[in-house]
Amino acid sequence: MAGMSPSERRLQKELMSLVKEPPPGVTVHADLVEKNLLQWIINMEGASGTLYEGESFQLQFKFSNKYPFDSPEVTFVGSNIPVHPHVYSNGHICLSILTDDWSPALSVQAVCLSIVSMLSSCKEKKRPPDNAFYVKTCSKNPKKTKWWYHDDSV
Amino acid sequence: MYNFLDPKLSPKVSSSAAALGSYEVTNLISENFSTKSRGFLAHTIVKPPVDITFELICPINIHYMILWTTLGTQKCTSLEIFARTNNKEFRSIAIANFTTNGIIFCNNRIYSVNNPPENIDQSFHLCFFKHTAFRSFTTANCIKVRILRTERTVPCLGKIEIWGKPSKMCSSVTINTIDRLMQKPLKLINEDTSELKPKNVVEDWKVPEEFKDTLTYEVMAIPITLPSGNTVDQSTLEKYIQNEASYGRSASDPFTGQKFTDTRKPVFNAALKSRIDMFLIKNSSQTETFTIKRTVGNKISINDIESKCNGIKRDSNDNLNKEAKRIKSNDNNDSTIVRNVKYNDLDENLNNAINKTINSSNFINFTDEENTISTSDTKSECVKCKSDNNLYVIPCTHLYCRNCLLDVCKNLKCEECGQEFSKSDPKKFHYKTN
Repeated sequence: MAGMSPSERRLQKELMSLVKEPPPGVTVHADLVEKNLLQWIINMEGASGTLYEGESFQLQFKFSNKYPFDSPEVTFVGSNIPVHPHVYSNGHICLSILTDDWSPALSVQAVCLSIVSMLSSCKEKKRPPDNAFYVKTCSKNPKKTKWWYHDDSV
Repeated sequence: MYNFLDPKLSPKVSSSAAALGSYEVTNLISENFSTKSRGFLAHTIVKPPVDITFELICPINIHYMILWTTLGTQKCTSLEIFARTNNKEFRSIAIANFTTNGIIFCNNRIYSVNNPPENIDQSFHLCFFKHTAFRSFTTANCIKVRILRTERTVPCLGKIEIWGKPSKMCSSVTINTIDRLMQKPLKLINEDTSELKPKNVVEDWKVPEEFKDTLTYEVMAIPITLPSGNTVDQSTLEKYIQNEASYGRSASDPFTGQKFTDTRKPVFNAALKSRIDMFLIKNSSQTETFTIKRTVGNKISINDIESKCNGIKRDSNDNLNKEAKRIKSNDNNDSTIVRNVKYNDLDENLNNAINKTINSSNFINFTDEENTISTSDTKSECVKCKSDNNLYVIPCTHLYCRNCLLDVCKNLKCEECGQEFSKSDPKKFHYKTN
């Protein structure tokens, strides 16, 4: 523990608690994460009774060394990116806690739960209205996008 | 037969090259096992040849020498051994090129390829002393190891042993002394076990969770309890508040997002602080505690945070925006700003600067309701004809209706206070909605 940076110490702690008691439908590639604590891959299953039941998704978390004061960069990766009004086809997620409303009291676990609940509350599977334009013009890092949060219902 | 580099026989060692920190040449003859196992490593700028000279307690007849020539990834591949009798010149007694991890130089009068020394590493290269130099190696009291070549690495020597017997020219007194020295009880074993003990304890030793910051999991130096009941370190809270200020938000509890007020604010947890300090003092032998942040009994640091939290809470959002800009322009020296600037002073400076800006004529305010333009106190009417239609405001904050303003503009001087203004100064006056 001694040679760790503050962000790594906190991530180590979060990893341990996530492996020990993961939220339903969420699993973490522990051995992959242990190699590089600043980049996590998390498997997520669509909650039962929702539009995404039976599907599984992959989330990628990238942490800066300012974590937990700086929010992680969270995107969907892999072959299956959920079709959702707040998820762009390149995996970027429009969720306020990932940028402006981030608080150091939030954790990987809290972000996973928020995303599960965001998916669960979806009523109609469709892409965001500006998907085609955004995907062409956006930066690789979703944190560089100036998000405009207009839907408070989820 | 003894190893004459045993620390009990007090050998001396020196080297022609500078060593890398904590890899000094004296490691090779150290009593301490962990120091000894570090070995010698020359400084990275050093290139072969490097000489390492050992002075022995008495002239000896060398039977064999074992040299471990690798240290981590460093490796030597060519060595030359010199010996000296009394104060004569050094004479080369052996030279060898090899690729193994170590080398054994043997006395060719005692050993042969078929009859090597006992208990040796079979993988080591075997080399014999030169026939012609027997005078030197049978009565050597000083031995020099010259590293001639390395495998494109830094010159190094992991470990060395020189086995032999006191030479024939030694008196019986000398031989007895050496016997006595070697029979002294081994202190080393005791030291080793005492060294191992704390290591075993370390595995079980743990800092209690309550001493750690809820957000960063580091042991807290100045524990601050938040309104939500969570306790974080002062530095964490400062960082958070600064981060929030960069979004233009005022100080709040990171867990609940509730803004701090006079009754609901972070407080210094003195009881916890004293328990942490007690714990750290009691466990000061643990190496893990060495890196933990400490306070140095400076009262200001504790008062600072409270005044700072109060200060930020007192300020309007406007101040925060300004502060955010200030912090940003200060080139991200984040932690130092907080430490070096006294917050009370900063508050005062900010307030002064803001008042100045607001009162200056070219300040356009889009948002604020109160305390911006002082005309809000007076009645909104023309100072001349008391009409409240179509009003204009001039820099001295007096109001004029359009007709009167045209009159006043002939002199460009306020008729109430006599302050001069220019033709571009009058601005349309808007009523407050509330």
